[in-house]
Amino acid sequence: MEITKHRFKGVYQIKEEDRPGVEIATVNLSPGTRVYGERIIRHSGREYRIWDPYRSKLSAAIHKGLSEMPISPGSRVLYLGAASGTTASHVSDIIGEDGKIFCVEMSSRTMRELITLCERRKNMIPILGDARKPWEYSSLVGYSDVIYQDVAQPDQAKIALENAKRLLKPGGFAIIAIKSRSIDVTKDPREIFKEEVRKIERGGFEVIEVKRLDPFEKDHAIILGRFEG
Amino acid sequence: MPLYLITTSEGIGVYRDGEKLLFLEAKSEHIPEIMEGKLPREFVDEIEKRFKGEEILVDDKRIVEWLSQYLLVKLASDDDLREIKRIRRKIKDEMEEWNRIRDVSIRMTRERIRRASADRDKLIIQAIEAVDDLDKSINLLVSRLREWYSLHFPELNDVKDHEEYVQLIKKYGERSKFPEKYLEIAKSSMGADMEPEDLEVMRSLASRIEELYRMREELVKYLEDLVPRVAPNLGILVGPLLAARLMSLAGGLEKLAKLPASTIQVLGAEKALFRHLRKGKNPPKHGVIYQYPKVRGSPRWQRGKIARALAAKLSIAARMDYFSGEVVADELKSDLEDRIAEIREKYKKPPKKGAASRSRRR
Ligand SMILES: C[S@@+](CC[C@H](N)C(=O)[O-])C[C@H]1O[C@@H](n2cnc3c(N)ncnc32)[C@H](O)[C@@H]1O
Repeated sequence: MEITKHRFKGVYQIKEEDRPGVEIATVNLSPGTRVYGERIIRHSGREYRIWDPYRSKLSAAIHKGLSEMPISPGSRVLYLGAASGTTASHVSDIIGEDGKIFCVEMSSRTMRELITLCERRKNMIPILGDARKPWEYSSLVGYSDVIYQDVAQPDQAKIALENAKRLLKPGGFAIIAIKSRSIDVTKDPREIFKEEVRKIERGGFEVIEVKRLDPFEKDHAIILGRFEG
Repeated sequence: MPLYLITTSEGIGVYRDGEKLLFLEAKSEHIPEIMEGKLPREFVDEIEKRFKGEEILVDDKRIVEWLSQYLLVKLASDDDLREIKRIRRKIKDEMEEWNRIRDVSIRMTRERIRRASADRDKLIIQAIEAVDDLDKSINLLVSRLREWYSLHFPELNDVKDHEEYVQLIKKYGERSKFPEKYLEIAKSSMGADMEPEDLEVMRSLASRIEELYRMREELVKYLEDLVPRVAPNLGILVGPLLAARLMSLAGGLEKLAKLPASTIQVLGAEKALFRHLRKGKNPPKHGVIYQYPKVRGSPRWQRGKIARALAAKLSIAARMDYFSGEVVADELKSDLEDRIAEIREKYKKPPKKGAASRSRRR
């Protein structure tokens, strides 16, 4: 087995003899615990959690060669639509002990699982709330270096902009997962992604990259943008 | 230059032109209030003293709404938001105590989850009681149908499963129309021949009963969805239906959470309990938790002990569900499994006669 550093800080590449291809992983901040049944590899005193691109859109984007990764050790992240924490837990691994992640999730049922995760990981704060109402958590969050958003809602661009306006520092980044089918099932995904990009640009972002996530996720893309304003 | 009222979990500040005019530090107990869009009373007094009559901009609709009865507050515009964000960031960088706000957020989130499910236990109680009503009605009507249809085809009573029996009648009606495997007995049936309209009315009853079965299924599905949200620990421990019955017998999740384990153990056995109290008969060993497979399926002399162990875990589960929302049921379940294994090992053989009273006391 061979473990090497990925060009993104806090991310690792793992090549195992008996498995095809290269996997990516993060170092478990909460050793001995799994979050979503991911594989764990112990190597020279460290515990690596395999980051499944079929389960996490951010992993899929990295596998597909995302050009820049704004989430790094020490980042302050606002995560919108954290669900039960599959991706959020890897973000928590990457940012490490000096990083901070605010996890906003609207469903109280899902939050039940997320809260257990937040109790184990000291860099996570749970917020049971609606990402459409950022003023309700602004006093707690204050500001962020990066907004990661995956809410699968038709008004996702608007949600991202509202949050950026209040809570993303100038020069900060947004990573927005776009699901074309939650906007319009009948339209060509390419058209939808273009339209979403235009909306985000109008809201003060410089869009750096749009990454389609197939074959890991159908009809999905990740938009990476830098906030100018 | 406008005045800005800036709310943070560290405190409330009033700023003009980037300059701090007033800052009131928040204690931990103030944070939930601030996050709910309320300012502590003493803060409002302080701000009123200094800035009454001046226009103050705030970025939270909720605060604007209720604070405007004391102060001249307005909702901040997009341009203002930029300045407010800058100041918030400064406050956060200087003052944020991560562990403190994290503890408060976790506590608040638990509280919100709990409130989101409060009173939903009333829906559960109605639904489970509707299931029981349906069961009674179904039983009554199936007995009627069996008696009635037996005039025509008594041998079909060998089909013991009620639902299957009902479906057969609904589908075939006349005994000679039954499929292959029933034809033999149908031909030699002792029952009377019937006119089509006699059979039609029986089939119609069968099809209504069948609808009651579907209704019951729907209710069970509903409970399987709702119980885990309201009482996840109870749901995991004993399954959604038994969890619902316990809530119904106790009169709600809150009441269940406040009952001692010994009462939970005999919930649903009130008659036997009164007999015990009034006439000195043996006390009941279990109430509705008899339905738990490992109580029901165990030898008689182990049941009371297993029921007691289960009731103890149920009492913890109910309290977790009502008071904190934390899910610990997997742990409770494995503890219970261990305890049951222990009981089965220790009390393998039935107690000898005469030793029975001694073993009960243990
Ligand atoms: C596709 S899932 C997110 C999966 C997650 N990002 C991951 O990779 O582990 C979308 C989540 O967003 C949540 N959501 C939807 N609308 C929301 C809103 N307005 N505010 C907060 N969360 C929302 C849903 O409850 C759901 O859990």
